[in-house]
Amino acid sequence: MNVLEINAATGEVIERDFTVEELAQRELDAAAEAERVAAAEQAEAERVAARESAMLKLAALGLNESEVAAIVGGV
Amino acid sequence: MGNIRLYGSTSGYTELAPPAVAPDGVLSLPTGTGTLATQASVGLVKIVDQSFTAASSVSVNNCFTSDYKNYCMVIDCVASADVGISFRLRASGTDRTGANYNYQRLYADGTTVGATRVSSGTTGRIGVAFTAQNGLVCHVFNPFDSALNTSTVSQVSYAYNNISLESFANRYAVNDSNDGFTIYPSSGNITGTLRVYGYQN
Repeated sequence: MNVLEINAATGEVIERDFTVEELAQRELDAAAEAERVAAAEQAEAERVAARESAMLKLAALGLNESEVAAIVGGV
Repeated sequence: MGNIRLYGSTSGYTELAPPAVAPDGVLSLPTGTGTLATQASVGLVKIVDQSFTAASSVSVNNCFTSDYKNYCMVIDCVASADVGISFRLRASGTDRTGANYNYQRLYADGTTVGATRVSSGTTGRIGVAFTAQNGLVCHVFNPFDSALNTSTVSQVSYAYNNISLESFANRYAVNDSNDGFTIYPSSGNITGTLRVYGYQN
């Protein structure tokens, strides 16, 4: 893995490896990102399930597909 | 009409030449103690222009100064995988990694529109990058001002389902003076160009 470090004041550009501290932070970042993505996917699955349930209930009230779509909107 | 040569103080000159067919126009020079306009009147001033290849992280030091309050970052890149582009502020060559980053995301993919928010994270997010070309612009407000939070607003165009759009707002919830930033993909690497401009105050 490479890090590009630019000094805007001098124009100096350094390409180097991660330091030990940066690599440890990167691993923490990756773990936090995985946790965030899993939580977001869970929330999205719950939202889609709730929407489908709501659409079935609206259909049971006699609304047709286009009428339900007009109320609920996009996916 | 002949050419006009402006000689340097030591050697060389710049020559002003009229066009082959002279238009009807007048160049008015200042009189008395008047001075010609300088770059200070330009709206955007380029501070950084840097390409990068297969970079896991790109850091810029000393780009935020007292010269400008607000900045514009323009990033053209491709990623090794479909990823988020994270963002951290820097001071004296070190990333700020405290849990002070908050961001709001809004995305549109066809008729599907959604939003997410992350509060008190250890990194911000300014966009996404896919394996096809992505265009990202990010405005940065008051990064160098120690009396204010730093905030950003950004938009990215990317090739998910041909074309999709994401917008991000970031707020770093501590009043700190920051002189640089780091961007990095949430995994893999990115290849492209980064330009940073200062908005003239």
